[in-house]
Amino acid sequence: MFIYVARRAAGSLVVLLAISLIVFLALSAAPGDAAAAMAGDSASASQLAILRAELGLDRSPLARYASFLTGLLTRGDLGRSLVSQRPVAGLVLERLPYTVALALAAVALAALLGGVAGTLAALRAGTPLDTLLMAGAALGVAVPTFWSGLLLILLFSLHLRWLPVTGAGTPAHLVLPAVTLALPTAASVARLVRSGLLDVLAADYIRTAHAKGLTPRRVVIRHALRNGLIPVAAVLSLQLGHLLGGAFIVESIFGWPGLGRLAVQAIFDRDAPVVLGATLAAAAVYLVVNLGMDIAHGWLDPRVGREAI
Amino acid sequence: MVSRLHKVLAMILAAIILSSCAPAAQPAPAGAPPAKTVLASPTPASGGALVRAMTSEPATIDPQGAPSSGLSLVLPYLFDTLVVRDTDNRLLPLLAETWQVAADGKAITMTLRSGVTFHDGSPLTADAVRLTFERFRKSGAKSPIYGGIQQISGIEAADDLTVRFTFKAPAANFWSTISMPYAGILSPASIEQAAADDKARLIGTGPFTLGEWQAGQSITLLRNAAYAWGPAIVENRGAPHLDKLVFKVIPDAATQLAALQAGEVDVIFVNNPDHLGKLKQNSAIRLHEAVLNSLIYLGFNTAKAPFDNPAVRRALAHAVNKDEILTLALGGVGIKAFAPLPPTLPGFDPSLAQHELGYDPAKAQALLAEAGFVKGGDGAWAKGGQPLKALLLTSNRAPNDAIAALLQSQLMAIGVPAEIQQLDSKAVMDATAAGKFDLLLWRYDWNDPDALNIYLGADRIGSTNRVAYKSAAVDKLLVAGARELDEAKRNALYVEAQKLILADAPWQPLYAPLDVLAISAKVSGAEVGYMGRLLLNDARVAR
Repeated sequence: MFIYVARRAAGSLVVLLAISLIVFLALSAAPGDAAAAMAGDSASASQLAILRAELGLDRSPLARYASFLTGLLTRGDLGRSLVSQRPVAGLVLERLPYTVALALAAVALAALLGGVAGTLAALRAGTPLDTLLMAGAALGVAVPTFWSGLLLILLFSLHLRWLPVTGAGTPAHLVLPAVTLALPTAASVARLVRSGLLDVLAADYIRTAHAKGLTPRRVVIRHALRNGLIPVAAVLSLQLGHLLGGAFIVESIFGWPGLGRLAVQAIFDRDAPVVLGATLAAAAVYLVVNLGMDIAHGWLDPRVGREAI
Repeated sequence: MVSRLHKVLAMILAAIILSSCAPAAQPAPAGAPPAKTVLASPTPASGGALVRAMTSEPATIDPQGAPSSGLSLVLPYLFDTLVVRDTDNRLLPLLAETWQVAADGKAITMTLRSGVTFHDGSPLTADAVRLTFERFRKSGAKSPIYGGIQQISGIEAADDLTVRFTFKAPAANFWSTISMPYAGILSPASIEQAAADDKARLIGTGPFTLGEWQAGQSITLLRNAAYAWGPAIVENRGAPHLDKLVFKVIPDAATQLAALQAGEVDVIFVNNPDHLGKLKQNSAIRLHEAVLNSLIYLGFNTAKAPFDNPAVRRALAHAVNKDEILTLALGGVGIKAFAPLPPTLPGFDPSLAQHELGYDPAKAQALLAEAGFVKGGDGAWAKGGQPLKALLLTSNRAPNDAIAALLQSQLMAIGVPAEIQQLDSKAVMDATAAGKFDLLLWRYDWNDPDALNIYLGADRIGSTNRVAYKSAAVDKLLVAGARELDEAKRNALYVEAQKLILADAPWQPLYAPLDVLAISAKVSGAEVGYMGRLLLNDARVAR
C-alpha cells in the first residue's frame, strides 16, 4: 500500500512538471507578451523594449522557465506576478478557499440531487415519474451554465428577491453559483445512478436478498445502492477535481472570486508566473483528489485493489 | 465559438429578464413629467454609500503601473493630479494653483496649492511632486503616459510649494499627460514603503481614501474628511457627501444589469444596445452619455499592394456607409466621425467634413476603374490577373464582429470580397506589426491631438502606426504640432495634417464611441466629467 502511494505521488510530481512546461511553452507561443499586454496600444517600440528588459522578457523562454523551475525546486517559490509584482503563492491562496467552498458545495449538491432523482427513477422505471426525471436530467446535461445561471438570477434574485445576484462572503452568496454548477453534474449522476441501480436490481444476489425476506427498503439501500454507487463515486471525484481548478464561467456570472477568474485574467495579461501558479495549484489538487479516490476505490472494490496494489 | 454563443444567449436572456422586469420598475404614468424631474425629489441628509460595478479588478492600485479599466475607475477618487480638464478640454488648477511657461517653452514653473495633505497626514510639497515624477521616469514603463513623462528632462523643488519642470524641447502634450489620472501625485512616505514592501499602498490626496480591498470581490473607498481642494468642475469643493464608494467586481455584463435592477449596485456601464433599449424604459434608472476621446477607424495596410495605392484606399473608403454602421451595429450610440481626430479633441475642426470620403459606391467603382482595375463577368475586380480582395483584421472585442460584418457586405456591394479575421487584441497587434493584413478595424483612445503622432507618425511604423503610413509632409506638421505651445497655432497644424491624411486615406474614420452610464435614480448629484469620469464630489445616495 505504502509503495503504491509513493509510486503514485512520484508519478504525480512528474505530471506536474510536464504540465508546467507545456503551459509555459504554450503561453510563450501565444501572440503578444506581458509587456505588450500591459503597455497596450499606445506604447512605442522603445517603451516596450525597456519594459521587456525590466520584466526579464528579453531572455529566451527556456531561460525564463529554467529560473522559474529553480525558484520552485530550491525555494518552493512560485515567483511574482509580472503585472502586480505580488507573490504568486499569495494570489493563488487568496482565491483557493472560495474555489474549494464552491467545488465542495456543488459536488455535495450534485450527489444529493442526482442520487435521489436517480434512485427514484430506477425504482419507478418505466413510469411517467421516471420519464419526467430523465427528461429533466437530459435538460440538465444539455443546458449550459451561463444560461442556467442567468435564469436562476432572474428567478431568485430579481423576481423573488431571496438571494443576492453577485458577490461572496455569506452562505447566501454561495447558493446560486453552487446550484448552477451542480445542475449538469447532478443530471449525469442521476442517469448513472439510475442505470447502475437497474443493472444491480436485476442481479441474482438481489433476488436472493428479496427471497430471504429482506424489506424492499433494506434491499435497495444495503445491497443495491452500495454496488450501484461505485461508478458514481468515480464521476463525482473527477468532477470535484475539475471544479477545484476553478469554474471560470460560473465565477464570472456570479462575481465569485475563484481561481478560474484569476487564471483567465492572467492568460489575457500573458502573466506567465500567475498562469503557472494557478494551473499548478489546480493540477496538484486534482492529482491529490484522484489519488485519494483511487485509494478509496481500492478499499471499496476489492477487485481493483488486488490489481492495482 | 462558445463565447459567441454565450453572447447571443446572454442577449436573449437579458431581453427576457428586462422585459419581465419592466412592470416591477414602476412605469411612469402617461403624461408624467420626464424621469429626471420626478426622480430629483429625494435629497437625503446623509451621503450614504454608492456601489459601482467594476468589470475587471486592477492588479495593483499604482497610478504609474499597468493600465486597466479597473484602475482608471478608482484612480481619480484616490489621487489628485496637478491639473484637470473639464468636458470642454479646458485646463483647470487642482494641486497646482498657478503656472508659468518659459518664453522658449523649455521650462514650466508651478506653484502648488498650500494646505493640501495626503491621506497619511503629510503635507503636499514640491518635493512630493518631484519624487512622484522621478519614480515615474525610473519605473513607469508600463504606463500609457510613459512617453509623455520621458519628455521631462529635469524636475526640481525651488521651494516648499514651487516646482520647476524642464524639457529638452517644448512638449505640447505635457498638459494632457499630467491631467491624466495616471499622473496622480503620491505621498513620498508611501513611495518609500511601496518600494520596500509589495503590500504597502500608494497614497494620494484624493477625495476618498482606500479602505478594504477584498481580492476578486470589491474595493471600498472611504470619505476623506480632510478634503478641501476640489477642482472648479464640482460644486462641493470640500469633503464628499458620500461615506463610502464601493467598487464591486462583476465580470459579466448581464449580471451587472441584473445587479443594477436588483439594487445591489447603483452605477454600471452599458455597452450592449439591447440592454440600453430596455433600460431607457426603466424610470428607476437614469442614463448618462459620456463622450470619450476615442476613434474607431478602418485602416488600410499602406505598405501592401494594392492598398499602397491611395486611389484604391479612397475607393474602398467611399464604399463605407457609416450611418448604417451606427444604426445597425451600435444602436445609434456613437458620433459619426469624418476626421482622424474625434470631435472632442482639440485639433478637430468641423470644416474637415468637406474632406470626408463619404459614402458613394458609384464613385468607389469609378475610382477602381481609374486605378486600372477591370470588373469581370462575376462582378469581381482584377488588375493584371490579380483579383481585388481583402483580409479584414479586427479584435474579438464587441461590437467589432457586427461592424466587420457590415463592412464586409458594404465592400461586397462594390465587388470587393473581404475575409474577416477576428483575433485576441494582442494577436492583432502582433499581426499588424508584421504587416499581415489588408484592412484593419481598430480603435484608439488618447486625450491629446498628438494621437496623430502616435498612430500615424512615420517613426512609429512597426509599432503603433499599424497601417505603416508614411508622409513627409504630414510628419513635418505632426512634429511641429508636438512642439507648438500656442494652442491655436498647434490646432491649426493638426487641422492641416488631417486634410493631408484624409486625402491619402490611410484610415477611413468611422465613429467616436460613447460610454453610457446607467445610474440608479437613488443617486443624486453625480456628474459625468472629462473622458467619461464620474464626478462624485456632489453625489448622495438615498436608501
